[in-house]
Amino acid sequence: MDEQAGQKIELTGRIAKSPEAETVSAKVSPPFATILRELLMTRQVAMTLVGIILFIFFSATANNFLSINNLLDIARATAFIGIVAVAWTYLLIAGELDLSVGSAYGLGTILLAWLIQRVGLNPWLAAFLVLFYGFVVGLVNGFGTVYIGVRAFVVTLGMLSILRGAALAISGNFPISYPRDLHSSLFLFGGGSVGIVPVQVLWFLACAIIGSIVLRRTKFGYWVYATGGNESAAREMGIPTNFIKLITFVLVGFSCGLIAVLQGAWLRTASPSTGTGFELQVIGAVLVGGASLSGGDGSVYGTLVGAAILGMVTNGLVLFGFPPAVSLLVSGAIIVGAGTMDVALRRAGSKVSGKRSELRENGGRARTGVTVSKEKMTKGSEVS
Amino acid sequence: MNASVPFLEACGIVKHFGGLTALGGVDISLCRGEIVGLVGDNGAGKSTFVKILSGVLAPDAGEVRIEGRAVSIDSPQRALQLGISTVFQDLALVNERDVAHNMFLGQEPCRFLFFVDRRRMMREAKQTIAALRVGLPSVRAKVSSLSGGQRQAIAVARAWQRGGQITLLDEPTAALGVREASKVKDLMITLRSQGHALLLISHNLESVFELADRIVVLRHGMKVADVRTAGTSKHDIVSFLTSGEV
Repeated sequence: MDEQAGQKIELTGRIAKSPEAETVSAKVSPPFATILRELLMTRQVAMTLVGIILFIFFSATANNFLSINNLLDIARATAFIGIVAVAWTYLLIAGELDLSVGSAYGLGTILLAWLIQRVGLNPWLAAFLVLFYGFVVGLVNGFGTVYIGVRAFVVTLGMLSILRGAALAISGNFPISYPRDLHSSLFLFGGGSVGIVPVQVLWFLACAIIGSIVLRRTKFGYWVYATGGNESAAREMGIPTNFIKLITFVLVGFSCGLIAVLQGAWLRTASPSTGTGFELQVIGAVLVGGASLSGGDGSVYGTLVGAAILGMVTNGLVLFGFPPAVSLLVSGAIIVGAGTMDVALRRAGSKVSGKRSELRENGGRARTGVTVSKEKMTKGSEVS
Repeated sequence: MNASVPFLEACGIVKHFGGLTALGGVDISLCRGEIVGLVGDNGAGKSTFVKILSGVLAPDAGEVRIEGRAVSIDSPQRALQLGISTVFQDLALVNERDVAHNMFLGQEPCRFLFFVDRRRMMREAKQTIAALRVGLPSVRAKVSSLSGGQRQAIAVARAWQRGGQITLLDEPTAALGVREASKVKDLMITLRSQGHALLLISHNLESVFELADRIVVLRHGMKVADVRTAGTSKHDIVSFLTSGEV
């Protein structure tokens, strides 16, 4: 029995090895590349299809889902998550993460209200200070991670707590309302609408369009992909990887400052609990959108689709009359489902590309906090 | 072009990693139109030396001179500006990106200041690949879909394309098939005839003897031999490698 098993292993070992030896110098035929490209395309296409199916499903079954007002509601509810998720996509592609976005957002709204209500600053000046605050938060996260070398997971987890604590301390754990008689043109930029479209949605669209173009077309975007894809290779080729990472941290921090200002200008009140759990919604959108946790892969378009899917589900379930608990359960299931689909597609892809993926460089991944490395998956699929 | 005047001189290069001395004062010179083979056992300091010349690591002591002028190679960009291009042992490729981007990694051509000129990138990558007769499915193929040999060919083609006068090759033929390896060798000979200075690091004494005009042997971070290939036997090199003397 044991002998048989031994022989079998030896046999499969030989079978697995021989084609590899042949392909080392062999040319790869074009159809193979096409198949692979199609497979990789499928990830984005598949999530888009899921989004469309959900849209049709809710349109057909939930009353009022398809009304313009409801769709705009979904867009408005998704806008803040989406703005930060676009920046977060950059950060994740560069191979890092930031857990402090919810607290950074919460403290931002408190700071804005505090500066306007207690300090009595001009709302515009207060808004610029809050934007600067967001910039500084990103700088601190980035500096701690990149230059001091503490893992992003640790630095930003600490910041999550610190910033929330500061928000509670400054506000005395009570909401701060803006003075009733205060008027400022700033409020038009956060709470108004252009035609029927809320300005938050326009901000979101602007961030997404600019974010997508910069990531796909500019040198900076190329360097973000290279940094997360293989950090040591990027460094050897002269890409300032530390600086690139720092910038992506700053983008995320700045985006939190931006939505804090938009939220304050819209509601004119700030609660110290604003943004609790927000980081998970942001990360959910990015992951459902297909970005890789190990860096080097992802797109703004994917993140948009991810945010839209989660936004539609939350809204649709409320329209069905389900309690919020259900929408949390379903959102969680979607995130896990998207992750599973991703793994399945990658396995299919790595089977096509053969065992050569083992040769891939891993230098740049060493310091990333949470990594589900693709190599392990490849090996896993070979074993099974 | 006088081959006897060193084009690049590295003098007294020292590098420590913690308590470990990777290089303990190494002098190596490269002349135009010359291939120098750098050999040594694992851990002898070969790759460290290459990383210092390519600006990835900073030396603790020592000086690098190019055409007699002292230069400070404090970053990979600086190395490229000085005309030093490198084929790294780890190839320095990004697997999630396509061939065209990898060929221009860190040096992407731009239009309007910062928009990557993708068309130009693809066109020039195609030209280089055609010129070197590297068998690749497409410049749009992701590196992760390529074989080890194809990856190595991209790394070599990239160094060639950057057009430096000094080319450092760290194990450039290790993963190549016979046909691809001979292509890389032809390429090195072509570069030599054009007056480039090349530093070839290899475990393969055969190919070092075939290509190099001069062989430098490192042992425990020290130079133990610097001999012309003509008039030296493989046996001599092996005894330099193992015992540090003939």
